[in-house]
Amino acid sequence: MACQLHIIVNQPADPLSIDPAIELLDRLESLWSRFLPDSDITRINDAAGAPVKVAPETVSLVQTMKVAWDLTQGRYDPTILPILVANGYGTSRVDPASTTVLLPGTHGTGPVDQIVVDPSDSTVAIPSGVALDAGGIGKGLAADMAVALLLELGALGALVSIGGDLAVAGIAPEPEGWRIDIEHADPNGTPLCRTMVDIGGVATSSTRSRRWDHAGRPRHHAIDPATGSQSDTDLAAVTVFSTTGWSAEAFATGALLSGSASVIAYLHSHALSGLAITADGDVLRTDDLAGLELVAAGAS
Amino acid sequence: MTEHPPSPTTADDASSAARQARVAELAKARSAQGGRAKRRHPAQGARIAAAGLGATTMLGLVGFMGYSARPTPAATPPPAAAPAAQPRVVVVVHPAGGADPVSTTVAASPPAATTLTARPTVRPASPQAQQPAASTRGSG
Repeated sequence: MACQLHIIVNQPADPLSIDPAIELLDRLESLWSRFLPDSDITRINDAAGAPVKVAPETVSLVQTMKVAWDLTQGRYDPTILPILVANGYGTSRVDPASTTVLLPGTHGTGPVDQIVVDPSDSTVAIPSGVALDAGGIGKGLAADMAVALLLELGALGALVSIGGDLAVAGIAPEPEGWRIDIEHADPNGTPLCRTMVDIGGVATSSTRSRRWDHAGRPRHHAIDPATGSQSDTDLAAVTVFSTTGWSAEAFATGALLSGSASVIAYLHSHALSGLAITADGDVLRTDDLAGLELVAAGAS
Repeated sequence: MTEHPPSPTTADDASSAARQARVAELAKARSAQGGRAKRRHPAQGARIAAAGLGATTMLGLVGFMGYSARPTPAATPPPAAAPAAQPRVVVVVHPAGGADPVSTTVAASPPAATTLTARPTVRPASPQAQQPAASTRGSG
């Protein structure tokens, strides 16, 4: 998933192997990466509208994508991949030899409500001309699945972070919860603030991470489905706390596209906790986070 | 689904009396320890939620656990206590790029009852917080 994996397990006296969780995440990577030619996602995108037999985990992923699209009123859109590729993000950041190759005629965003998922037959069919990308929601859902697996294996509690999209559940190592730092939009070695979270998911969507240059312009991965182009939001990053990793990621995307004028209202309208950083460095937050203290620059 | 309890018998009565005595004994002991709320063990709740579910139903499981781990009814015997041994926190970092993972084990403070809610509660971290921190900055 081209990012750092971070697992914390609060385990009982008997040692607990986290290998099954690692194996699960490896499997999800092999199923969901758009850079792998035989992944489920690539096979779905290459099927030109025909139903594709996929793994049960991929059925869950595509169902989750549709739910997230609906929950965010389309601000999270799993079909922005052709725009990302057109903007120059067609090559893996980890392995330059791995590229995303889309069928001719695949462009723009597509009708997500016309994506057909058949759990009984374990098939997925997308409209012709549409392409899916697991993206951040794949990371969030993978974190949710790994946490659930670790608890099922006997962990008292678990935290799984995949590139900063994370999920926590169970008994935290400290009574106040799991310690999660929110970093600056441009990390400087000091967190913006430190939080304790008891359960759920946390995700940050940012225009400052995953940047590249293309056709003489700086690019980022935040695409506004409403315009079909790179978002011109005046927010640098939004962090959202939600019930699950995948929903935190979806709502973080939706909140980022809101812009500074309405991001807090957007979070409140979905009963979410969150924090936004503007391009100028101002910090906006939902009412329940008013007590969070910002860490002074240079503090350890 | 509604579960109907079997008809009471003498053996059930004796068992019930013993159970109530045990409940009272545990409640007294718990009160002496500071009166922690009765809650189903979160990990137990997770195992219950996960039992019999395949990967296709793992969606939303973490959120569901909050509901499956509601406080047990007062008349029901409390679940087994959490293991008395001090939990350890195992930290494994898998760097990007295929480098070997780094693993460390550190001591942790004793577990406390987790506040289980449908939505997370977010608090400021105290300066004394010792556990390793995860962080979030955006991945995409």
